[in-house]
Amino acid sequence: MLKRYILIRLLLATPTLIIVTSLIFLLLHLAPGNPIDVLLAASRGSREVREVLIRQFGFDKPWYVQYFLWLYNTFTGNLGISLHGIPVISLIAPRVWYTLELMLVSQFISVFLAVTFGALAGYKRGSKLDKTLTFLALLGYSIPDFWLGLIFILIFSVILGWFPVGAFSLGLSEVIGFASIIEHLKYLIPPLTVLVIACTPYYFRLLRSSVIGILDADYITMAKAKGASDFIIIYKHTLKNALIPLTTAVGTSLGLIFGGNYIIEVVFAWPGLGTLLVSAALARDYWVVMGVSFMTVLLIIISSMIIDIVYAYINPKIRFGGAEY
Amino acid sequence: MQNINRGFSAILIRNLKRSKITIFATGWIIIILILSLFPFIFAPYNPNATFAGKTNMPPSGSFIFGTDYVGRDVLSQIIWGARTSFFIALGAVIIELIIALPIGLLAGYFGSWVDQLFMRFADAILCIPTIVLLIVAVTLFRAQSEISIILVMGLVNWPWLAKTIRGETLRVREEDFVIAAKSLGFSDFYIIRSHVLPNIISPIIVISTFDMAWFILYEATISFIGLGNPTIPSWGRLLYVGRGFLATAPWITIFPGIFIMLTVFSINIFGDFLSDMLALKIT
Repeated sequence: MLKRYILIRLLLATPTLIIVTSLIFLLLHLAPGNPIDVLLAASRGSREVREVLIRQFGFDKPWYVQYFLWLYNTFTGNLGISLHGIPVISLIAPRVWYTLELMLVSQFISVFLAVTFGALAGYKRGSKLDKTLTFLALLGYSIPDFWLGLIFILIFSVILGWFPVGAFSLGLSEVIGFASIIEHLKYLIPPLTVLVIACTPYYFRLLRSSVIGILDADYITMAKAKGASDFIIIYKHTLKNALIPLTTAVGTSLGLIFGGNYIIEVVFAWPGLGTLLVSAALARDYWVVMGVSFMTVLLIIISSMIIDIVYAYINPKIRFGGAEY
Repeated sequence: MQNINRGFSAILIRNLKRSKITIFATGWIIIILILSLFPFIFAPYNPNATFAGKTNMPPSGSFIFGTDYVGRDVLSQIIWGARTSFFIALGAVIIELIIALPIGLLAGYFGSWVDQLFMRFADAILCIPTIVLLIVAVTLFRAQSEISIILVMGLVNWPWLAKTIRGETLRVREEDFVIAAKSLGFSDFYIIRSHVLPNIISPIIVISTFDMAWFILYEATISFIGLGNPTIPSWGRLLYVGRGFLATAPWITIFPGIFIMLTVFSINIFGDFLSDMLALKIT
């Protein structure tokens, strides 16, 4: 049952990927001006780059040939050439890890905090603690994350001087040793903190309401009647079931998670895909903008497949069959 | 129906009085609305007027929120920025509704391949982070004017709304009164207009309210990263400018951020309140 479920999820990802790549291609053709000129603006001055791109992407051929060449090139890792003559893929590749590092760590901490406090607030619904946490969550939900980043820099870097102000250099991590780890953390902690503050409220609200929903279930009343302690009821009976909607929420908000991550990267000059995307957009470096967009979608599709598999494991309805696809 | 409507405003006001936060939120939204309708009355200076020799001035009697690096009054820019934010968000919601309403209704009402086609397409678009799609569209189409930003935001964000409308339509489609209308031989257009639409209007209102908050944030983000129009005063432009002067002139950053935060907060509170009042479950 599980294998079949995973296989169907994998098959569903293929049309999505094709639609997205076609959409990128379509956008290029809809943009004002000739798509060839739009893309080749990147190679201004360099005749060789221009010729290489025309040969690889068939810009002198009809649109359907261009489309299939586009798909072929994209899926074989040829994402074009940047304004500075560097292949886009080699600009993107090292940055993927920085983006993933920031995102995975921040999501892990956010989910952990949300689970702890969300379960507590839901269990003690209506109490002072619940009201305070819910209000804080709503406040955190409304703060624009990039502004929070600026305020963080103002307080902790400018006034207190705890963290460096400048950009994190890509080469730093190549020096192995304790000192470089400390240096790395100094740059990682500011964007990480801001992302955690921005993401936790969202999961908190969700977990709180699903915990409240579960607490009314018969099996909780049963557990209470048997004299189970609060701790057992929250963390054994309730949370197990509340984690299922949380997994779905992480899956459906992947776009928001990546988007938020990118903007925070820009604020703190973290050398990830977001910083690359924005600097390329400002320089009108279309190949890089397109390449980063494609890589983002690819990462999102892969993450959502992983989440689907996790979901299948934790959800007994799928594990034992009988679920809808 | 008429009866319920008459009672509704009374219930609305009675419940509004019960919660202090909701009163605050509603009050703040009204203030922002008034500021955005009549900025010329409240702004002490022209938002783009530069005062020579008064660059990066800290808050004082004549410049309550200080001035920026070219000597523009921050308060006046915030007041005119309220107008930019509000009208861009409203415009984007309208564009989004124009696209999402027919698509969501048709997909939900007719189902089958229309629905499948729509769902696959919407899922694919939802895979792309909205902000990334916005950055791509703004760059590619060189969207600089307010109208083009509105169009781009509406075009990028509609699948979210369309999915909600589709879900609500699916729910209403199975109701007895729709089935009855069908068996009486009314046309599909008539049924959608007179039976489906009135029954899904409240979730649409609530979602559109929340989307106003999102669009305000998106517009601010686009301007903040430097892709906005440098000639239009906006909250995002102030943050973009202020970022370079965090150490010397933090007031350029602090005040517009507080305005964005309070506005988004108020809209979210008001949206929560609306959805509670309309007793809805929004998924």
